[in-house]
Amino acid sequence: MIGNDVVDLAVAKKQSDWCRIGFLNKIFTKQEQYIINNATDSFKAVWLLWSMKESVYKVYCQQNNTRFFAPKKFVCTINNSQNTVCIDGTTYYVTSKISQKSIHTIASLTKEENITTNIFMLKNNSYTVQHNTVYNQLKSAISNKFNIPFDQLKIEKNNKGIPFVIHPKINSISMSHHGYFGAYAFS
Amino acid sequence: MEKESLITSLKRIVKPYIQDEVAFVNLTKETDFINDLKINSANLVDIVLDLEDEFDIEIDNDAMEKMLSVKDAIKIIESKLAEK
Repeated sequence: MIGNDVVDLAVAKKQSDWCRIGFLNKIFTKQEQYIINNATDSFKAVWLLWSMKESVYKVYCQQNNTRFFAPKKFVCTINNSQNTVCIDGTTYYVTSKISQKSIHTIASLTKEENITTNIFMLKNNSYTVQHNTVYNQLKSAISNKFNIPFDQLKIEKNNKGIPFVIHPKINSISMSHHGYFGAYAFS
Repeated sequence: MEKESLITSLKRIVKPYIQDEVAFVNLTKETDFINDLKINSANLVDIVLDLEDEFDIEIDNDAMEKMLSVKDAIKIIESKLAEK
């Protein structure tokens, strides 16, 4: 099972004031706040840790068919060889790509999952464009990889709003967009 | 506090963060912050902080965990106000 999350850093800068009193403490553990405060780029550290939490949240929600808002429960560990996030005694593996403009994190339950993923720029940042582009990009990637006609693929959402594709070759899907960036992952 | 004025305050607080005008105009108790109003999840933290300031309450992590819709937020504010 997999999850992914993308952060448009320019939009994050405008959308959220991470220096706001109380903000860090609602989201991050003491240890994570220590990492942020001692990072050479605290702003990027905030959004790296955030995307780690969000991507694992997406895996957790698929597993448990649930929704909630408790970012602090997702405990991040930064390690040179493998970053991880822990919740309820389960450790998830995360991999992040950090560029000048974006951070993209992929999370998985096991190390062995065969994940296909992509991050791309969007034409504009309207919600409809974000949503439709990511849906279509994911569908065409699945269609290409497994040789399934595009029109036969249907991305559905369950009662908790969790997206899925019914196909024997697809185990798990995840979509994300923020600002001018879109991303997907599937396994 | 009357429920109507609670909803009015809540609408004023969430307005800067919404990304779906139509859902905002048609807001009801059932409206979901993320699925309907398309609020970015990081901005949910701002809403929690704004509500704490507005009503002079503390929304702890257990309460915040359940804050997904207008109905949830009203329930949390009411119970925190009652504790005061």
